[in-house]
Amino acid sequence: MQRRVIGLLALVVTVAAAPVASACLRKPPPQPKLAKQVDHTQRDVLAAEKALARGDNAKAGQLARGAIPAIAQLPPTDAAELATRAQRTLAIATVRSAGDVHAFELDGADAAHTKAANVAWAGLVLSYQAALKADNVMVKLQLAEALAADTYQRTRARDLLRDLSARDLMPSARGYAMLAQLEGDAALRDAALGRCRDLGGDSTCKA
Amino acid sequence: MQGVTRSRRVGALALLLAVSLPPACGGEPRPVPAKAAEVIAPAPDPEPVAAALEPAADPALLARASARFTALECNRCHEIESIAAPTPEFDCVGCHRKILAGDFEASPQELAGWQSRIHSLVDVPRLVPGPRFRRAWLQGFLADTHDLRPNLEAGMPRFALAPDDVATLAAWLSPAAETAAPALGDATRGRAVIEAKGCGTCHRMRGVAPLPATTLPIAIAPAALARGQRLAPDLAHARERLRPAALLQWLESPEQLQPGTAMPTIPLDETERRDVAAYLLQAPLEAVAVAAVPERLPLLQREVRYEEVDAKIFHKTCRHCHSDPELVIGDGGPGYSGGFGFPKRGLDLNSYEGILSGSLDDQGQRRSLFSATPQGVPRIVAHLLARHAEQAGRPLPGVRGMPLALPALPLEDIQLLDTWIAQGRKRNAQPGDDAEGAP
Repeated sequence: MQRRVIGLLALVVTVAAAPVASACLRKPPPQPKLAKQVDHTQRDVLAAEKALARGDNAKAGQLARGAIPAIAQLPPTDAAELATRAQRTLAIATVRSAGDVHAFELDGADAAHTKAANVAWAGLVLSYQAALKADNVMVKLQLAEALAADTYQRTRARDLLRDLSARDLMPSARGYAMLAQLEGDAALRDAALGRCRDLGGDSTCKA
Repeated sequence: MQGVTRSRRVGALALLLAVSLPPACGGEPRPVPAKAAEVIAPAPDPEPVAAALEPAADPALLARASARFTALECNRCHEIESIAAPTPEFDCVGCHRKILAGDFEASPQELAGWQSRIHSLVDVPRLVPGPRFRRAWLQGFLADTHDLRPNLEAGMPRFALAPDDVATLAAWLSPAAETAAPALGDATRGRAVIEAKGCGTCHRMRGVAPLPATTLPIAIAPAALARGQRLAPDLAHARERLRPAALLQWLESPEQLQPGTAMPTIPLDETERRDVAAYLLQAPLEAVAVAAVPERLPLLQREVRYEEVDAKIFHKTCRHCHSDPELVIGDGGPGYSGGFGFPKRGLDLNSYEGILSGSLDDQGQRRSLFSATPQGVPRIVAHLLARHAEQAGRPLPGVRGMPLALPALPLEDIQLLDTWIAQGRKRNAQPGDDAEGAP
């Protein structure tokens, strides 16, 4: 009991002796901070596309995979439009790198098989999306690029590109450049190269 | 969309909707070469259009009105009584207002940037059912909209409303039977009252001597006055637009007929109200010369690249309604995904590839934006020129002017686009054009 009274007195004295000014100026007790969560998916997908555009396929693949973790799923578990866009970016990076850029790894498979499986995956992704987005010209162009990488599908790729060209719907100089490479007919090849140069200039358009 | 925060969605939409018009859109229009005015507009009938009183609206139409207003997305711009506001992604006007008021969740720098560019889709008439409007006029206006408020930058778009929808919306806006008006007063005295009460501070009246902007007889806050000036309709439309009995009520107490209206209550006794109504409904309107439709400018002789066209046109105006929903937050805008009763057009003007990818026609087939019209004009250019024709009061059948309901682009900007198309739609070399893997 005596100890309790002494303790209480000590507390009262301490509080009473505290300078008022110091109490007023004391910092308020820390409040829990509200973290502002910002989703960078859009920024990362755009960065992946830019990396792809400048020819950095590895970086494009890395960014796309980072933006959409389940990117290899077909159909994508994240059905958002942004996810499908990222998936196409990765698919094109895979095609352009001849399978060096991976969407997934194959347990126990050697490098050649892993590359081939990833290129096949890229073709599947783009075929799937082209079917879903039948009115999307960019997806058609990307599919054509994937098909053109496959010896057995080059005719189909050429036909897709011819159709876009005939309807004046080719979305980029790259599309005309691809068409020029696939055309057997010299006059049609020259015409495609001419349109390529109209749009993009000589650096894009290689005969 | 997984992980995308609401604020981010809204922020991105706000960015898209922050209509940053070219200088000539936002401020004084640039002088444009035009033929001298050739066509004289017929003078509106000096007598009230319909002597017969309108009956009550068809209840069947009223029953479907709420669903149609929502389906047609009228609430993206209008606040509509008893119709819920849209979600923030689709609330064009609400979003603009929040940004201008500084209430939008964004950094001060972002807010300041948007605030400097937003000057349209802020003041929009609130829609409430009431006795004021002639239903017949509403139907005509909805079916074939025209400029009504000369000081408002964004007008009512030219929609493609089905006749049923036109009848439904008009019925909802003016559901009651028209009541007979008491005898009108003296139009000459009415003109004097209008001048004395300062109506010309906000209103114009096409076809009569200009209304002087005399001092208002009441105190009104500058912001309220500015809003009133922007929303004030051309009074020449009053005789076709308004029911006489309701006009008298309106002149007595606008707030009673439409709470929140920008029209202030101007003290008028009954005789003055009848005189003013007589002037508005009966004063002879002189024929007014219609502005000539400006002519398409010749192509430029210098080289034009995509980057310049994008900076001056696509990136400033078009992309706000025409963007690929894969990359923007929301639906890409009505010009991509459809809306306001328009079908999906799949038109992305937010990227070079999108622009070259064309748009969907009425059959859902892609077609180039650059295919020539029967007049030999690239289709996209024809739409931009059509907006000039609409502003001159002569809309082109079958060609909707763009930007929809906003001021026409300066002819010099259209000339730039026209030249770019004619030169093959070139753009600057892109990083990676000659990279490994490129064809």
